[in-house]
Parts: sequence; C-alpha cells; structure tokens
Amino acid sequence: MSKRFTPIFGKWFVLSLFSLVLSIGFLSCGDDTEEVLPAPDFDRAAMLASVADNLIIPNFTALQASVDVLSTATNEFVTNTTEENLTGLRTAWVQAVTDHQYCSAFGFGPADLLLGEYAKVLGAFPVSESKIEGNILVSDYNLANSFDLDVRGFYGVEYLIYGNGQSDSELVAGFDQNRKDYLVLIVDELKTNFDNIVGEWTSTYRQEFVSNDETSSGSPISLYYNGFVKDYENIKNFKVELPAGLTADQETPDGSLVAAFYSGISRDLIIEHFENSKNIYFGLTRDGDEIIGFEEYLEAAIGGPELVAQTKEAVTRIDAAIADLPEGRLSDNIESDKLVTLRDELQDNTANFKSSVVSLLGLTITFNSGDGD
Amino acid sequence: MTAKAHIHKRWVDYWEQTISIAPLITFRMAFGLVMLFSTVRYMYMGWVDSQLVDSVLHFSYYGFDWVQPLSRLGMYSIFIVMATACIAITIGWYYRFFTILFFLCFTYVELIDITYYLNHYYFVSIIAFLLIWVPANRYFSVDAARNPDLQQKTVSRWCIDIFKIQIAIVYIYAGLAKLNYDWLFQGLPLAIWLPAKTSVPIIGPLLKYRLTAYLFSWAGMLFDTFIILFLLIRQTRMLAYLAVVVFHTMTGVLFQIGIFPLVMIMVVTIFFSPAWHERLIERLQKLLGGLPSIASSNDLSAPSPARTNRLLIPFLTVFFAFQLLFPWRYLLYEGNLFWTEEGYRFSWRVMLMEKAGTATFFVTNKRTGREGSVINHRFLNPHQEKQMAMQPDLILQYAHFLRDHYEQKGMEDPSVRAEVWVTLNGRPAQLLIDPEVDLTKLEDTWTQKEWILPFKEHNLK
Repeated sequence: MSKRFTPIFGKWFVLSLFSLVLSIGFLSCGDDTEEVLPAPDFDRAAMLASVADNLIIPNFTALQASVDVLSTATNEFVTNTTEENLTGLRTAWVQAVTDHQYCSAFGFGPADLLLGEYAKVLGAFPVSESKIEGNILVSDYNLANSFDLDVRGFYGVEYLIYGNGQSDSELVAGFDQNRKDYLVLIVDELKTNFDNIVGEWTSTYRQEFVSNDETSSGSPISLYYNGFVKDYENIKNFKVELPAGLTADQETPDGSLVAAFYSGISRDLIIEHFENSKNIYFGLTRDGDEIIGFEEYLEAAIGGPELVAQTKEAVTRIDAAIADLPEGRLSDNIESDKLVTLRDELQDNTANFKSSVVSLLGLTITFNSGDGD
Repeated sequence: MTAKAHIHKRWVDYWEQTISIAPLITFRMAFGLVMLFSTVRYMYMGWVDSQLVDSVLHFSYYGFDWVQPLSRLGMYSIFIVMATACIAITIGWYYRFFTILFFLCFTYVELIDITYYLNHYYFVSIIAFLLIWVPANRYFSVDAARNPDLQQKTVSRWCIDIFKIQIAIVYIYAGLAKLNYDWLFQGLPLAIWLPAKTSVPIIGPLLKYRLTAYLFSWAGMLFDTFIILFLLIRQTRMLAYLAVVVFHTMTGVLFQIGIFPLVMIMVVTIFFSPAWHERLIERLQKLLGGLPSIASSNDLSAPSPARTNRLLIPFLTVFFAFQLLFPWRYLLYEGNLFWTEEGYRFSWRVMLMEKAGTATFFVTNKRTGREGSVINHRFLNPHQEKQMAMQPDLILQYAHFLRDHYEQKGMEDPSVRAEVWVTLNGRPAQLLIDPEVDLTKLEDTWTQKEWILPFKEHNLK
C-alpha cells in the first residue's frame, strides 16, 4: 500500500507546500498593519484565581459573618424582646442585606441551591405578607418543605422586623411565640446556607473553579460571566423597572415592588448592587483594590479596547443617574423621572455588558447549547 | 453527431449506467448508526424537554408556523419512533417505510423551532429525503434476507452520485462562503474564538496567536473548497480522507458542534471505491456469519437493477438545481449578508461569524400611550433570546408574539418596537433595526427588509 502511494505523497506534498506559500504570501501583506502579532496573553486561570480569592470568597465570607451576627441578634431579640434589641437586630439585618448585594452575582456552584440561585431563593422580593402571616399561624411550620420563595430570606426577615406601618412598640408587642419561631426559622435558613456556601468554596469548590479555564458552557468562566449579566439585568428589571411601573404589563408605578420596601433602604441597595457589577467588570475588590476583571480580559481582545471605553462612559452615566435618585424612601418617590433616567442608562449599558462582552471574548453564553454548527 | 446530440446521448446513457451497490449499503448503515446516536444523545441530554417541551413560545420557519410541538409524552414518542427508525434503516428492515418515517419525524422536530436551526440538521433532512428514493436495502439487509428476490449487487449509478453531489455542495459552498474579507484578511472570527480555547491539549498554546487564526482560516477555506476534488481522485483519496478526519476532529475539539464532525466523517466514506466497500461488507458478513442468506447474496449473478423510473430524472434535476441555486439568493438582497441575514440560512454558511445582540422590546398601549419594556426571559430561554437578538426575522416574530400576548391580556392595539444592539466580529455594537418602527405593522416576507439599518463598516484596530 505504501508503495502505491509513494508518488502521490509527492503530489500532495507539493500541493500543501503551495497552499502554505500562498497563505504566507497573503499573511505577509498584513505585516504592515501589525495584524500578525500575537494577541497579548491573557491568563484566564489567573483571572479565575484572582476573582475567587479576592472577590467571591471574601464577599461570601463577609456575608456569612454578617448573617452570623444577624442570627445572634435574632436569638437575643427572641429571648429578650425589647425595642432596643429590635434596633440591634435591624442594624444587623442592614449589614447582612448590604453584604448580600456583593454576592448576588455569584449564584453558581455552592450558591446554586435546590430551589435555584441563592439570590433568587433567599433574596426574593416583594415577599407575600399574607403567606408569611399564614405560615406564622402554623406551629412547627416546615420551611424546608415549602417551595415558596416569597416567604423567606432577607426580605422575609425584613418584613418581620420592620413591619408594615406599625410603631416599634406595636411591633415588639406583636411578637408572640409563633412569630418568634418563624423569625428564627428563616434566619436559621440564611445561616445554614451561607455557612454551607462558604464552607464549600473554601474547601473544595475553589480548586474546581480555578483549575478549569475552558470557556464552553458550564465552565467556571461562563458561570461567572452569566451570573454577572443576569445579576446586572436584575438591578434594572427588579430594582428599578418593575417598581417604577416601566414594564409592558403595568399601568402605574408600584412602590410596594421595591427591594427593601419595609426598611426603606432601596436606594442604598441599588448603589451597593451596582458597585458589585462594576467590581466584577473592572476587576476590583470590594475595598477598591485592583484585581483581574473582564476589563483586563477585554483589553487583550479584538475590538475590546473600544468596548471598554464605551462601557466606561455608560457606567459613569449610570453612577450619575443613581446619585441623582431622590433621597429617602424610594417607594415614596416612585413616580420620579429619575427612575426612568436610571432605567434608560442601565438599558443603554446592557448590550455592553451582555452581548458584546461575550462576543468579543468568544465565551459561550447559554447553558444548553445544543449541537451547534 | 452534433455536439448537442452527443450531450443528449451522454445524458440518456448516464441514467442507464450501473455500479456496485456496496457504497450505498455502507452509507445506509453509517447514516442509520450516526442518527441513532444523535437521537439517543438528544434525549439523554434532556433537550426534548429544554428545547421542545418547556418553551413558552417557539420561533417558526417561514411558512411553517403550523408546525407545533406535541405534549411531553408525544415528543418523547416521536424520538422513540425516530430511534427505532434509525435501527431499521441500519439493518435494512422495512427500509422504505422507516426511511420515510425517519425523514418525516426528523424534519418535524427540526421545524418546531428555528432558533435551533443548524446546517447539519438541514443536511440530515436532505440525506434522509434522498435515501427514500434509492434501493439501499437491496443487499446486506433484513429485507433482502427475507425476500431474496429483492437482492441486487448493482444499482443505477445516480443512486450513489446524488449523495456525492449533495456532500460536494455542502463542502464547496462552505468553502466559497469563506471567501470574504473578514475571514481571509482579518482572520475573523477565528481570531476571536481560538484565543478562548487555549486550554485545548497540545495545540492550545498556539491558539492565542493571530497568525494561527490566519492559518486556520486559510486552511479551512482551502479544505472546504478542494477536499471533494481530492476525494474524487483515486490517488489522493486516502490522504484526503485523513484530512477530513483530522479537520473535523479538530473543529469538534475546538467548537461546540455536537455530532456534526462525526456525521461528515461517516458520510464522506461514500467517495471510497466500490471495492473498498465490498471488502468492508464482506468482513461484516463474516462477523455476522450466522446469516447465510445475506452471505450468499455476494453473488455476481444477482439481477441488475430495474430501469430508472423516468419521472425521477426531472425530479432529481429540479432538486439539485434548487440545491445549487437557493444559496445564491442572497445576491438578490442589498446590504451586508452577515448583518441582515437575508438569504443566510440553508446555504452551508458554517461557523462564519461571531455575532451577538441585546434586544429590548417596548410595548405601547395605544389607549393610554404608556410604553413599557419587556423582560425577555419571561418568555424565552437563553438560547432563544440569544438567537432572536441578532436575526431580524426572529425579532419580528417575537414582536408579533408580544403583540398577541398583550392583546390577550387586554391591551388595545399594542404597538411594539425594539432596540437591538448587535456586534459583528468584534466591532462595536450598532443598532440592527430601526428602533422607532412599529414591528406589529410589518410582515415577514421574501422581499428586502427596509427596516434593517445599514451596516456601518468599521475597521478594527
């Protein structure tokens, strides 16, 4: 067989050589424009390690700690139900829900719970007052058996400790044993979950996360990216657009749809939430130290520097629009044009964060890519 | 004899020519097995649910909006039927019935949602359709074993040539599609995709270089355009096939393209000589020694094929004329094909561009004048949203769905507009369509879509 092919090998060889010469001939035309220079090396493994160690794990650890404080304050409050302890509990809650803004984008891996990404399960708003009140009436209520998202989590705790319109003394007086039990129940659920999430991240998941630098669907970098985009869209959709009545179904704004309706810190949470989006994109720790973000990754990509410049402008406008939101309770100012402006600015930046990043980086966005061709 | 008469005689003679049936037999079995694998894989991956059953809405092919998915049970039944048909095709059992059944089921599933459009699904439909018309069960099959009268060792030559022609169209058109500025002179989109694949073993470290993208672009273009030529020449055939295996394996490793590489590696064997296929079948016959009636059919005295049905000639001529011409319809449209995608599909444009978009829809209640935006993921899965956000005809379909949806919810005469930002091969995103146009007033047609904004050339730095 090999003998029969000997002369043909020659022909094939000549042809390959011809194609190679042809290709190189064309390539050398590009030399003037420096297009054949190698792209600057961007080390995805380094990015994953950088964000795991400086962003995700520290942020979850901070959240775990503040939830722990929340849990202690809850126990104190239920044993000694006073207005003073209620104030302490509220302070602990504000810290925890603030720390949650810095983690909600990382709802994958250990933070992907049985009922979905943790922020969807434990950060659902608005909660259902009637369902919560119903659950409270059931002694030994089994939270683990419930699929309801609007009866638990940070904003379930918020409803219980801020109430809807009652004075603090009325609220404290209303805390019977069933109410206390339910509060403990949903705070315990928070504590168990964040203990687990931090435990898994620091024991096994970190290694799993940083050791796979593939870009296909389901890879750590695609999970991280998808989480980032979805979380950013959640700011726009759920913290701004829905309460401001700007979606297609709505006729009017609805202040009760804001995040943190009972405590009235909605505006603060929008600020903190967007901070984390920026940290992910630009590669910053929560304290503002430089780490590796998508920006660095993009700087090495074709068309990337232009996208980064465009994104920076859009982000500056969003910051300005957030700063411009009326002070005080957002639900009281829900008709404000400033919310429409913020929505528009967030909207203008969506393509920058969403389709353009993924396209320029060659990342696979969907979880379920089918056969592809 | 005049030249015209000569050509006519060759044409008439062609349809009388016969050739060994062996390549067709291998082809039948290879196709059946790959499709069996594909069908089972589709179920195993959970795609029956995630792509067909769970969706709130489906995007239709033009003119096929009457094709709707069945219930979950119904869809799984279709897949079970398809898997059964694949086995039947492989072993040649009630061959024609199961080939027709497979073609119908596969094409039905394919037509349910255009966002899952793949060139290779279209290819599979075409091959299944062509298999209906050829007697691929006349040898080494259960049908031939049960009814020895069916057996024949030769077939009309066209029965094998139609598959070669179809495969040739796929490769050569895929090659011609690569003759564009971005592919050849910018190394795009490979220069975007390859650096993301540096974790691939062995060649990974090379992929970050722009030079690699150029080499791959040119090699891919040359491969697609000329591989058929080298498969046809006896002396280069085995090397060409080696190139086919290497090329498709590499694309399979580098990109998420599922079973497409396997399909091509298998079907291309039809270019091998009849002798090669005869040896392969002999070996298989020995392996399956317990089937004497099949073994004995390896007999030169087997009858020759029936004369070609005269009606098939114009039918096949029209079929291939369509295959050859339809991909060129894009020339009838103005504008950048990659941008407008008018005439993009069904043309063997495979892995040609990196395109992605973000589409936001705004619905206005005409009575109140209030405009509200749409949260897409309430209606679309991520894959559907991604595909819709860069293809004008799908944007229009979605807008019409939204109109109907909000009308049903009591909104009077809603209008729908969309802001769609699309990036093509790394260029800054541009608006794809006129953001002010009321999409409910437009219909999808074959004519130029005037509401698509022109693509602004932008030289990448």
